[in-house]
Formats: sequence, structure tokens, C-alpha cells
Amino acid sequence: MGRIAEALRKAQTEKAGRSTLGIGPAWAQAGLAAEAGEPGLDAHRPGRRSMGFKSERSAPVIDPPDQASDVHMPPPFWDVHPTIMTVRERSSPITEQYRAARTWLLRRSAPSGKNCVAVTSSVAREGKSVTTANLAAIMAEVRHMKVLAIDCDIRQGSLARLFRISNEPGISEVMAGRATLASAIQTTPLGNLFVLPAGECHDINSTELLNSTAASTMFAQIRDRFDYVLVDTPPVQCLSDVGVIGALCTGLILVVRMNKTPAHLVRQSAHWLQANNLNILGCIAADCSARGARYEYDVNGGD
Amino acid sequence: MQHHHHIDEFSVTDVRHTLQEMGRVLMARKWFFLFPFCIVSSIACICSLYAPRQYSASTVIKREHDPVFASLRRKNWNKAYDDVRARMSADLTDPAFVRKVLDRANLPVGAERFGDGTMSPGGDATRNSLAMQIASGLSVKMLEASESRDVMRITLTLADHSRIPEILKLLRESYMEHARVETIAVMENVHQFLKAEASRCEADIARIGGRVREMEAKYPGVDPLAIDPLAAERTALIVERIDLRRRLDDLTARRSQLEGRMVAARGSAESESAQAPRMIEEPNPRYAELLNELKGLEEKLIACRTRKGMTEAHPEVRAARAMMEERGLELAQTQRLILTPEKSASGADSQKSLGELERELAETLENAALLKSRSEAVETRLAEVEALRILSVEQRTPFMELSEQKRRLEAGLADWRGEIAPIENALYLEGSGRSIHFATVEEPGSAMKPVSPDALLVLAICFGIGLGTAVLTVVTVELCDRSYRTVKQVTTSLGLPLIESIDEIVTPLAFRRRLVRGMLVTPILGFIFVVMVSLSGLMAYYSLERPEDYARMRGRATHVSELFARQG
Repeated sequence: MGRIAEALRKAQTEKAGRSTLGIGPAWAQAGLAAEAGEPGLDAHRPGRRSMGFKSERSAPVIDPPDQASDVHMPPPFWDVHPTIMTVRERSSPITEQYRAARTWLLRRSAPSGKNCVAVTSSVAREGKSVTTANLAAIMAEVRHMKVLAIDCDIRQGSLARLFRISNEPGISEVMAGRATLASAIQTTPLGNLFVLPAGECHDINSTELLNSTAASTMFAQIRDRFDYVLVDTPPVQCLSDVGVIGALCTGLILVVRMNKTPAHLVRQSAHWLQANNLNILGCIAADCSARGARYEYDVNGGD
Repeated sequence: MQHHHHIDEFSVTDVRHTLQEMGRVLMARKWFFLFPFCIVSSIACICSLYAPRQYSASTVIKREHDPVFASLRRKNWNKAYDDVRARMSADLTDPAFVRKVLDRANLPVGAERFGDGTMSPGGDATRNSLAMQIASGLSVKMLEASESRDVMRITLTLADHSRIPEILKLLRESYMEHARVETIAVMENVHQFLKAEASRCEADIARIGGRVREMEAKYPGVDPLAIDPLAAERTALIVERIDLRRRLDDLTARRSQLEGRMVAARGSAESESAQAPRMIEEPNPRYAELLNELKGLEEKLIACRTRKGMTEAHPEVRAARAMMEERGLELAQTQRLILTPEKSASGADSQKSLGELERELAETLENAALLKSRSEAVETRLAEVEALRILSVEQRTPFMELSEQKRRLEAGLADWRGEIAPIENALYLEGSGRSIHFATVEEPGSAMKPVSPDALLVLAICFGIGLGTAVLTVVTVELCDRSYRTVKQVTTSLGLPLIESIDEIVTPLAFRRRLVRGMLVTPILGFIFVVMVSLSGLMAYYSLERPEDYARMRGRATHVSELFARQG
């Protein structure tokens, strides 16, 4: 008990110090406040709107964030895929679990406040896209924090399907030069959430394009303009894109589907990512449906 | 103590954890358990329908002695019946006996034969095989066993139930006949044996009797138990000798008297003067008494040894002999003649002439000479008898041995003859059909219901196989599943922090699918499995416990399938 109390006291001291010295992004404070039940959603419909980009090739100029409204607006109806629980059922236990994940991520966000986190998994159908979409939606709850969800799984992109938005133009068209970034980024009814779908241009070599300077410039622009960027990537075991994308991002989240994905593939993927000097922030255990999966057995007395 | 407490804590926790894990695995893999269990159990139950079965039927027979025969026979000769009784089980289960029964009944019907109906080697092998099967499947249980009455249950167990009652009846009838024949055969064998032994004894007795008779003829008196002719002769000779001596003494006295009278006659003639009475010798009356007494004793001895058959050791004989010796001694010491004063001479003697006296003296001398010669002959014969008697005594030991041998043989012969008579009676009664009666108490019933294998055991094995397969499947699947089960495994394995564990997201579509699966598919599958297992199990059970019902079920199923086929 003494050590726990000491740790809490230390955390409070650090938090007070950050607020006093201006360490950490301002939205982090607001985000933590939002966790307390302050929604920061804008009543917008999904679709395209001007994001303030100066030109097609230049980085988009993002409008200054809306002033915080003191009026609590009801969440808009957005007919997303049923798996996007953070939008459809905002008070469900699963949404709370994503909120807890958001808290974890925000507490470990970069001091600069520009975070670009890739979400990946070892094999397909582990829940990367669902996790990315849910995390993006739950991040967008934080007032004044603009969140962009990018679907970098060009071959089998599914973010557009999950958010039920148009998949074209997407990042593939942008990288192929067939569309501008500003025109590709789509708004959502959640004012802080923007989506860059994968696009329909499947004939390009995504790995080479992602390795290009233009991609680095594009990601730099995106990081500059958005407070939190979540990138949906292909599985590690299928494509090497995740290595390139991970290098463009500040960190990686490894999604592990419980009772499904073979453990050796997960271990192999984690080792591969670490061998490529990629920063794995942590892992998210998905599909914890089995009883006892969330709570491990402790032989030392705890259940 | 602290260490032990720690171990106990671990063990209890481990057990709880193991049980929880088993429950979790079973719930998670319930279909991996149920599906193999139901399928394999059903297949095993259906396969059990083709498992070889053993059918059984039994009959009860009673064997008892004829009461008249039993009362006549009493306990004189039970050996043949006891022997047959003791071998009832062995006889019935003897493959040779079964083979004979099959030969008589010309079984098996379908055995390979030559054109003339005789068995081919293949058919013979089939018959032998069937005989061995029947012999190994036969069992005899004594329900009641006593000397006069036996009740036994004969049970036959075979794989083919169709011929069991028939074979059982054949065996029963054949055994009844076999027991009679066997009993008579045993008795006849024994009768022959006893007769042969009796004949041998008779021959031996005749041979030894001849030798005995020969010795008796050669050595009279060799048999101490028989009359000794030498003893009688010897006694007669002794008595005669004594008599001869007495008579000789009388003659000597008479001669002396005559010679004295002759001298007196001559002297009177010379001197007529009267003189004083003279002393004359006369026979001693005591001597005559002793002679008479000895004669009486001799007669008594002869009577004891001859008519009464007494031996020398008999007290009466010994007393007679002692008396004879005593009287003999007294006789030897007694004078035959004593001196007495001459009575007044009778007128006849005194008036006899000298010539008459001389003639009388000559006659006396002649008689004395005859007596002497006879006395010598008696002495000679007596010596011969004594010598013969000594020889007979020497031959007495071998004679006694022969006699004892003969006596033993005669006793043995009497025994054999004592055994032969009851057997002849028994054989006579056997011939007239009044010895043993066999009766069938219980006829063999239907052998439709198999006795082996046991229905419950079969079901237990079938479900055990299903259970084993199901558990093996679950264990195999569980071992092959390398996925993470708990977040602890994830963090431990990867060495990464866990951001959050997210529950399974159930979409409405998935929910509806689960609902349909839980409300429709699972119950239907469960019903199908239950019906499948129950039907196969019921078939397996009925085929063993209620074959008639099972046959009816199969008949109905066949009928229904034919109807469907006809309509189709």
C-alpha cells in the first residue's frame, strides 16, 4: 500500500509539473478531460470538405480547431459498420475498453504531440482495421484533437467499408499522383476524425511508393497537420509494407487475436519488427471472449 | 512446517486450476467432444451387432436306482455305479463321446461327403471341429447328488443357436444309453476278472492240496491237527506188549506151579507123610488192576485223539499221558507174583496124575513160546512206528507251510466267490432292466437369447471407446492449438506491454447467427446425436437382451425401407 500511494503521489506531481511547464500537448489535457465525460464531437455528416490544403502537392492546411463548445451536443447518427462499437454504442463495455486503450496511448504519446501510430498484426483477420477504426473514433472524442485514420492496406483496405465512406480516391491514388491528399482525406460526422481510405488503385507497387521521398513528405505533412494519426497496415506475415510504414510512424501497435492466431507467428512477427528497429508500443489483445482470458491465473494467490 | 504448508497450498490450488482448465477446455471444445463421442459410440454399437455371440440351452436329467434293485442290492456292489456316477461330467464332455453322438446323428448336415454319403476328410475335420466346440461348450452341474439319486443340469453353449436344443437332446439320450452300457460293461469286466481270479485260486488249491495229501500219505501223522494213525497203532502195540508180558508172566508162573506140583507129585509118591503147608506163588491183584487201568487210559487216549480230534497239547490228552506214565512206573515197580500159603489142596489137583501135569506143562511152554514170538513182532513193529513218527515230525514244518498256503488260497477263493455272487445278481437285474432309471426333468428350451457377450459390458465398451476417442480428440485439438489463451501468455511470450484487452465484438449479424445456431442448429444436431446414439445403443442392447424384439425391429425397418424403395 505504501508503494502504491507513493506511485500515485509521484504521478500527480508529474502531472502538475507538466501542466505548469507546458509539457505535452494541450489536447492531452483536454483528452483526459474528455475521458471524464466531455464529448467533443462536431455534428458533421461524412463527406468531402475543404481541409485547407494549399495545393494538391503541398501539405494540407488544416483549419484551426473549433472552439470548444460549452453546450453538450448529442452524438450524430452515423451508420458505420456494426463492429465500430465506439461510434454505435458509446457506453458499451467494449467502448470503455477502447477508452482505456486511448488513455494508455495518450499517456505514452510523443512530447511533440505529433503521433503517428501504425496498427498491425501477424496475420490477416486479427482485427487491425476494426481496432484502428475504433481507436480513431475514440481518439476523436478528445476535444481539439484532430485524428486521421489512414488505410495503408492498399490491397485489402477495409477502413472505407467500416466507416461506410467512399474508398476512392485514397492513399493509393495520392501516392500514384492521381489525386491530391486534400481531396483524398474524407471528413466524418465526428468532427475531429478524418479518414484517408486505401483507394482503388491496386496496380501500383505500394512498397516502392511508400519507400519514396514523396511518401515521407506526405507522412510528414500529415503528422504536422493532425494531432494523432492511426495507420492501418497489412499483416506482417503477408507483406513487408509494415516495415516501411512503421519507419514512417512513431510507433506500432501489435494486435493479437486471442484463441486464434498461432503464438509462434505472433512471436515471429514481433521479433521481425524489433529486428527492423521499429518501436512497438504494445499489443492489444482482441477477441477476449473466453472466460479467464482477461485475467490470468496467478499461482501466488491471485485469480 | 512452513514448507509443508506451502506445498499443500500449491497442491490444492493446482487441483482447482486443473479442474478449471478441464472445464474450460471441455466447454470450449464441446463439439470436438460430442461429435467424436456420438459418432464413434454409434459406430461401435453398430459394430457390436456383428460381434460373435454365444447361445446356450440346458436340460435337466435325473438318474436314480430302481427301488427294488436298490433294496436287493443294498451295499453289496456299488462300485460300477459309483464309477459311472463319478465320471458323468467327464463322459458327457468327452470329445470322443460327442464325436460318437455326431456320428450317430450324422451331423453336421452340411459337412462335405463323398458320393456314397461317407464323410470326406474335409467333412471329418468339420465334424471334429464341431465335436470340439460342443465338448468345450458343454457344462454339467449337479443339482442333487446322492448314492441313490442324481439330478444334473447339462448346459450347451454354442455360436450357432439353431441346433443347440437338437444336439442337447441327442447328447442326453446318448448319454443315458452310454451310462447303461458303461455300467454293464464295467460289471462284466469285473465279473470276468473275479471269475478268473477264482479259477486261479482253485487251481492253486488243487495243486497244493495234492502235495498235502501226498505228504499225509507219505508221512502219517504229519498233520498235527488230523488224526494220527501211528499213535493209535503205537498205543495198540504198547497195550498188546503189556498184555503179552502179563500173559508170559502168567505162563511162567503156571510153569513154575506145574513144575512144583510135578515135584510134589513125585515127592508124595515117595513120602506120604504129611508135611507143613507150603508157600505157593500167585498173580499180584494190584498188577492186574494197573494193567486194566493202563488199558482204560490207552482207550481214552485213542478216543481223544481220534473221535474227539484232540491234539497232543490238549489238557485232557496231556493228563491221560501223565497218568499213563505214572501208572507205567508203578507197574514197573509192582511184582507180578506174590507168595501165599498153599490152601488145602483140592481133590482135583491133588488127584491129577503126573502125566497130566507134564502135558499141561508142555502146553504152557508152547503157549509161552508163541507169546514170545508175538512179543518180538510187536516190539519190531513198535520200533518201526517210532521211526516213522520221528520222520513225520521232521516233515511237519513244510507241511504246515503248505497247509497255511492252502488255507489262504481257500480264504481268497471264498472272497472272490463272495464278490461274484452280487455281481451276477446285479447283471441279472441289469439284463431285466431294473437297475438305473434315467428321466428327463426339463427339456431344453429356446436358445435365442445369447449368453455372451454381456449387453451392459458391450454398451460400456462401446461408450468407453467413444469417450476415449472424444477425450483423445479434445486433447489432440487442445495440444495442436498454439494460440494464446490469456493475456498473461501474450505479455510473457512477447515481452511487450499490454495496451488493453478487447472483448469479442458481436455484431447483430453474428448475434443472429449465434442465436440460430444456439436455438436451431445445436438442438437439431444434439437431437440427431442423441437419436443416433440411443438408436445404436438400443439396437446393440436389444440384439443381446431381447433378440426377438430386435428381429421384429429389423423386420419392420426392412419393410419400411422396401415400401420407400417401391414408392421411390
